[in-house]
Amino acid sequence: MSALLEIRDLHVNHGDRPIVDGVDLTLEPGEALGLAGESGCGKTTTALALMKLLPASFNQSGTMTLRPPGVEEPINVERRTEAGMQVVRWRHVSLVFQGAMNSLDPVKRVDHQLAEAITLHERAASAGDVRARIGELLTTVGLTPGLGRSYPHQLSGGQRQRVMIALALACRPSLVIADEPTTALDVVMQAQILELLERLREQLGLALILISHDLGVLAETCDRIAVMYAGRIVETGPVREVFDAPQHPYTKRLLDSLPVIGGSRVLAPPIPGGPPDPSDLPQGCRFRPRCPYAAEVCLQDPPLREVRPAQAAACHFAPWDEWPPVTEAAVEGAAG
Amino acid sequence: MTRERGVLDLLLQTWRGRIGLGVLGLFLFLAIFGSAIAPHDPDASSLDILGGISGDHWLGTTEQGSDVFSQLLAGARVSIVVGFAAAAISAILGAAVGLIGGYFGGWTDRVLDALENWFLVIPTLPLMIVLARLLNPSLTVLIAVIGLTSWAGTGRIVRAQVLTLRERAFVERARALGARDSYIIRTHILPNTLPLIFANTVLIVAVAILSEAALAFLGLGDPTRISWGTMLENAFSSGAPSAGAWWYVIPPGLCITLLVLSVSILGYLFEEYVNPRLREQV
Amino acid sequence: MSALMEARDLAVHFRAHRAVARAVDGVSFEWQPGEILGVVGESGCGKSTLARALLGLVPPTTGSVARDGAAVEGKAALRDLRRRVQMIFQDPYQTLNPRQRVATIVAEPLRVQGVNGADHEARVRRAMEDVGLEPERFLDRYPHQLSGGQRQRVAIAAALVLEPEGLICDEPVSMLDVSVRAQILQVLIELRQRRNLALLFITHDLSLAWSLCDRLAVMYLGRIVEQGSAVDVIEHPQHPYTQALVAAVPVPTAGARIREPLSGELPDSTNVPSGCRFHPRCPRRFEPCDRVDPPLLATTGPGQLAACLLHDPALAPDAVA
Repeated sequence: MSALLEIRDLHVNHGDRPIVDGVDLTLEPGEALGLAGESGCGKTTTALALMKLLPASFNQSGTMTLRPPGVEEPINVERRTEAGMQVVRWRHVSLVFQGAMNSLDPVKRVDHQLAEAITLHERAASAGDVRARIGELLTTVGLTPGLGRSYPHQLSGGQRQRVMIALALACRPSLVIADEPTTALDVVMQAQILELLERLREQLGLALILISHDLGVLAETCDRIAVMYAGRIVETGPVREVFDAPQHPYTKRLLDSLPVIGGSRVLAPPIPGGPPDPSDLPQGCRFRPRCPYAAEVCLQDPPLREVRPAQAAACHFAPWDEWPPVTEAAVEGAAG
Repeated sequence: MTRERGVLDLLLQTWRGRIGLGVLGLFLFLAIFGSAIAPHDPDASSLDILGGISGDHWLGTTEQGSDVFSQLLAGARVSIVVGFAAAAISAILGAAVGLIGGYFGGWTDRVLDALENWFLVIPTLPLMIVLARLLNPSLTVLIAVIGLTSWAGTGRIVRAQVLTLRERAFVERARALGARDSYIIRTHILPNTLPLIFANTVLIVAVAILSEAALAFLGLGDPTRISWGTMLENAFSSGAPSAGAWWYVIPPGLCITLLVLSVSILGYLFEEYVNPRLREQV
Repeated sequence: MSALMEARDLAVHFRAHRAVARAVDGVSFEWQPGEILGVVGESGCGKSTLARALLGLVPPTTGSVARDGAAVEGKAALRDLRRRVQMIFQDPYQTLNPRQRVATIVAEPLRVQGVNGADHEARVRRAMEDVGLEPERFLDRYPHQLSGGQRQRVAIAAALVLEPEGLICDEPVSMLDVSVRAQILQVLIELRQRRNLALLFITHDLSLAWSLCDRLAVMYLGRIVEQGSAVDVIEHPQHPYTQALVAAVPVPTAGARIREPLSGELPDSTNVPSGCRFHPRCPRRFEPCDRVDPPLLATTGPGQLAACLLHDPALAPDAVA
């Protein structure tokens, strides 16, 4: 079976600053991929590049091939014009943003916004069909159809995020990209939304790219995870393997610095410093200045290579069978 | 959206900045050194009535036979003094009302806000005319009248800014330290509103210059001083336009336009500096 | 030994349009010297208002705040309290005055509290070193020249410069990236160890509260519904709400999870349900829950209290978990 989405050698530059620097990603139909990393690592830029939604000041290159089920010819996203992209957006791939309040039109009722999304791509749809679809969509995301008559400000944060998801589903896409969909929400609401995403994947066979800085959220929702650092993927593999046996020092130390209820209450020393400035990247491995295991060889760029079955890491020393304890926390560079 | 670009860069590196600064600089120079440059006493009359351009009278003469160019130089001083002084009054009033109302809120704010709305809503020119009529016209009265009627916009903008600043964590932090209100206003609120006040005040300079010209044109100017507005009034009442004495009408009009334009350009530049979001749209 | 700070039946009500929002609605607790006390709950539960009420930033409607066993009353007492207990805030981008240099920001508490000017420089430097910022490199910078983590360090330095006994931290790391978050937490933990600084740590992150805090208070709609040692409260929650909160925490150890997320949302604090305020959402409610407002009751855990009728031997059905 061919991949639903293939991104090859994606580069995005903002002026002379490389924001995304050679990213390869493959997504199977129905798969959930987590894109992890801290702010500025290029995870959101990657998603926007795929939708060709980056402002004109960004340059992107690389190939992005989409093979939605039921569509004969593969779609070469990178060759699409703006008009051609409008068909791809929402019809095949749709986005759920972080700030649900800002992405909804405050002066239009929810059902109008849903109707707009439906008729934009299915002009032939009759009024009755549209109404039926709206009711169906709202039910799918766990809202009562009556809520369609509300304005966004009358809804709670969780309800708005559900409306955003309903909007994303309006044209029955095969891929949904969710960018920090639960970051602004509390734990309980977050659990509800994650539950919903999981259910939708099962019911609709939806593929999902979930972008989050919260490794816990990704662990619970995704099949596979790609960890990004300074514009590159430094580790990728099945969620379970990556979390149980990380193969890149960045992943390892990120996981160690997170408290896990029931685990150790004493936290490992934090990663010193901060991520590099894209206009002043370190030579070789980009994590080198913050890495406790850095050596001479790290001045050369480590390629992302398979180090364990299905698990790849961009580290010269991978696979790591055992992690030497970290004693010295201070590495070159200032406090982050 | 680099804020690094300083206000000086904006003034010196852009064409708008250079033109605005150049024209304003020229008029400032004329206002200060005008009496030294002036070839004639601007008030001295002669028999050469509405005389055309000549070597002696570079811009011809008035209906009294006075030198138009010398009057123009004297007028520059009045325009600039009135413009800046009135704007200063307006800035102080607007800032005080905005700071106090916005910071303390409650009844104080409601009263000041109502006052502000009143001044915003009533048409200022008729109010100025009434006030100037009631009082004895003099330069001070003009400055006071214009200053008193033009502060409301500044007050509104400052108040809005203070309302957001008041909720900022650094203000709350200062309060959690036990800082007094006067301290918080002085060290946290005012410094963060100053650029806004300044940008807005520069725009008010332009308004004040225009207002002075308008009042003077209506005969409500300081009778002892020549301003561009009085020149225009005299020109029109003496029938200079129909007499074809364009040198009497066009120079003061052009001066008003150029000065107001240059000040406005600078004002908008400062506004862009204060609010970088505007800059992107330009 | 008396508590560093104490809330005695503290309530803060706000007038909102025609209704009254009961943001904090009768809260009592003690915060011991050198203790890390966590206050957890969803946004809107009143935890931030509680923090502000402790420092007198919002006036209490009823109840009082005490320090060293004596109620804080009057301006002088409040000023003294604000010298000994400091506060840091959530948003590192809002917490510093953009027009002041770091040196001015960190020295501000000294100026406000009228500390002798000769000491300022040494104390500012010491505070900077305590938070891991080299004074030479950072004192002359403006906030916009700092990263988010550095800003939060500056805010902590400014809070430390008066050498307080307690630090109230309102979600100090929730807006920071994971690696930076760990750095800031380490700074706070070290401060506690070195200076015996007590922390009142307000957070919605239960994993964080579990690993960092000594004791924990769980808030729901303006009330503490459970309190006890952090380990006990999170690992063996006794209140159905705490149980639901803990169950909702996403865990970065992969694996299928079986959970039933709590349905519904936190009600508005202008519209507090009768009886137990959690009963409309509670999966374990029984007969008198909609009528009886439960006080904090002893549970099986040592020193662990829960405001739930399941722990009332007279009312509870036999099915006590």
